[in-house]
Amino acid sequence: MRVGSHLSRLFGGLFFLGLFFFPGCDSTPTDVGADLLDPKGGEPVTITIPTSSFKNQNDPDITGGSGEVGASRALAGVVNDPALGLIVAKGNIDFAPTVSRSDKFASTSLSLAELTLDLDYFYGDTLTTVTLLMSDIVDNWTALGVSADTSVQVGDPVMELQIEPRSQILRFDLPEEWILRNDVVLRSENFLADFHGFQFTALSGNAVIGIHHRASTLKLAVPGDTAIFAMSKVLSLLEKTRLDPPEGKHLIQDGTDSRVEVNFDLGIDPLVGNLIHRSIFRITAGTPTLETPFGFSRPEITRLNLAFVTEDPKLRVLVATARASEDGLFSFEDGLFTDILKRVLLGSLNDAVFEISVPISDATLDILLIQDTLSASPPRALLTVTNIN
Amino acid sequence: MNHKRVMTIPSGTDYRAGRILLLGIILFFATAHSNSGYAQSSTQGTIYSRFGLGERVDFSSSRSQAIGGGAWAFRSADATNYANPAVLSDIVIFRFTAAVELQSLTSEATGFEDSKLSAGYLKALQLSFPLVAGKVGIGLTSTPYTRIAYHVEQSGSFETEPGDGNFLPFGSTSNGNGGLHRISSAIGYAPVKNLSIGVRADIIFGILEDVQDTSFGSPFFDDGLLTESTRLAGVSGTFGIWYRKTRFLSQGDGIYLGATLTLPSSLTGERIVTTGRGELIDTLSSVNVSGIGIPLSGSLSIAYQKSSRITLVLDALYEGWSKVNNEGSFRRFPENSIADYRDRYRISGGVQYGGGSPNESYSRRVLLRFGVYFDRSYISPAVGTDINSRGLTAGISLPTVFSGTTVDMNFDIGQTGTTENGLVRDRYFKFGFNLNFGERWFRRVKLG
Repeated sequence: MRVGSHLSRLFGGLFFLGLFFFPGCDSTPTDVGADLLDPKGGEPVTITIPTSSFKNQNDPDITGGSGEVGASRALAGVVNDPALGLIVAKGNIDFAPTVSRSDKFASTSLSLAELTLDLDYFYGDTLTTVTLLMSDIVDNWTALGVSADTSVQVGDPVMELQIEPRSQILRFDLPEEWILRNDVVLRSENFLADFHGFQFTALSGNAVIGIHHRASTLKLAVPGDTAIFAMSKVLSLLEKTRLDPPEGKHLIQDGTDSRVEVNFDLGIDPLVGNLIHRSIFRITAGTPTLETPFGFSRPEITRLNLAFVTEDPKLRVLVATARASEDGLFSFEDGLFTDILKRVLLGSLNDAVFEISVPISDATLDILLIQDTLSASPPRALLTVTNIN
Repeated sequence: MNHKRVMTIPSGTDYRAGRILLLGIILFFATAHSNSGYAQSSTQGTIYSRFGLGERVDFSSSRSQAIGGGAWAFRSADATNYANPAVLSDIVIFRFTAAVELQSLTSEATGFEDSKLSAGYLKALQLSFPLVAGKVGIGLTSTPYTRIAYHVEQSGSFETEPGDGNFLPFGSTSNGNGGLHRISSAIGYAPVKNLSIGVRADIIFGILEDVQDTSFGSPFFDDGLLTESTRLAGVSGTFGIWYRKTRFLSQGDGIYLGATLTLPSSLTGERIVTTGRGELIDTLSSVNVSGIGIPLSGSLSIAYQKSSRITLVLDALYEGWSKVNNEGSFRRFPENSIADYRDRYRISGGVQYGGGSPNESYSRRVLLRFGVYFDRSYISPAVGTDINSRGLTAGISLPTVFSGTTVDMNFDIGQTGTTENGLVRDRYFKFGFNLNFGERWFRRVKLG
């Protein structure tokens, strides 16, 4: 018993001594030995990964929306851009009641129908008046997620609209014969199902205007009561006859050529595959060299989305949104971009395929000329990495 | 016929021995386990452990540590010699040893500020016991085979984008952990009076881990941790022979000659590269590795016991690393790094002075040990430049009130490498604290 006690003390002393010494040792590590480590290792470096492909997708753009979701405006008109080609836009809008209508409204014939258009976008010749033809849409149509190549069934013309280039809010009284013809439908409880809106097409002028859902309304009045219908759906049907962009530039145009597929070959740099500390995808706007006649307005794209293209070709995961800097750079930077690149390097994702596009909600014909892949500032990813020592 | 029945039973003391044995076995596997995972308790040591399988570590006994790391032909009643399995035939009592080592290291290189590093770890657990006293003995040991423990801190700034002229500070730490561990079981047998043979089976296993940790002073850059872990395992075998002759030159002297041969073997395992910390770890790659070579090695040793109080030893070790070919891609090895394999040589010599019977005074029973050694490393980061270690050792063995039990304190001061050719010179001081427990485990009693 006594011997065992002594042994216990002895072992205890041994380990206590060890515990005392282990954390008690003083250390001052420096960079001695750094020369013996991998000369590429230890120090972070930012490497440039060029795109392995950068090409417009042929799929038509999504131009439909409900106002709050998807496209925010409908485009209408025709413009012959001397640099980019002919674009024909047919704008479709529909309305929905904002509040429940009174019994008086439902039982009394309409005395007034007033259309208010919130015009907030203009592309084309600012010196000539645009004349649009407004027609009834005679069949149900869908807006959300619908692309610019869809067709909409149109009926009789309703009226012509003269639009000055600087117009913002325009009000038109609809013709009495149209009111009489649609009186029952407009006051019925089945308005949403029976009324399908209007389509605007160009009769003259050289511009495309945008009708924003924000303040565009259809006001219907009976003696002693009025009902306001808000714009509920928009859809732009677009056709473009393309001209080649200037040499060395890549054209992105909202509505017609807004989606570009981007691919990176992450295996070309041996450093890629280790630690990735930051990832940026960057494109550089090209110097404007397009032929632009006097008075011709051609707005430029100010923001772009970068999305990851999943294995489901219809599914995109938004990675980052970039706005143009003063020097024309779009820098897409988000931790998700780094994560996706890591996943590709890990093999849990097959390929690093991304898509840059104009946000659908913008719904414009804005353009962006960017330096193409053969230029001095091509689209590229900047990866800050560290190679292991 | 009048037969005397003799059988072996535990004595009263043997129950204590049983407890010690149980403790030893628990510690044995605990040490083995700890060394197979994240290994030693500190990541601070020589940068040369960055290459190959790590820094070779030898520990055959507490006594050996104090006599230049050799004394492999030497036997005595107060210590077990585990280096040569043949010598196990000579043991007569149960022995258990626990060894702890503390190390202080100063690394210097031209153009750099000295790096001061320190580490401490449980170095070995050993036990031995006779099956037939003086004729057949068993030894079990758990010791490191290699050790990886380096720590390099770098800092600086880098251009955040090529050509933009903006520089951001960063800190980078490279460190290594782990190493290979060796669990051995050996048996020694003395078929004739002066000659013994022995064999030892080694299980070599462990994890070689290199870690790269990079941090920034900016929220726009993610800090990063990259870990490359290689788990390896294999088996090896060692044969030993031991010859001793007493009354060699005089009545009270003796000479001991020993030799060992360890067969080459190869290790297999898996290499995993991960990034991230804690629960946010991503595996970047996982590949099987095989054909990681352990070379043929051999040793020759001689000990001359001039009297019961003075013993001289001389030992030489060879490991044929230059003939090792590793298969596959492995960044630590010569095929994929700047490092160069070469044969390892180790020569050591020393003297032990003192010792006496329990009846003598305490001061006479104290053992003093001194030694010197030269060791050419098996790997060098600079082709054509040897990485040599030279050192002086000393030790004192203090008897305790328990017969057969000693506390040994050993010291090793030396240096490794050179500051020429961009290399690093390590000046080190090692302190070894060893508990050697020994007592008669079984005794023969007459029955009937």
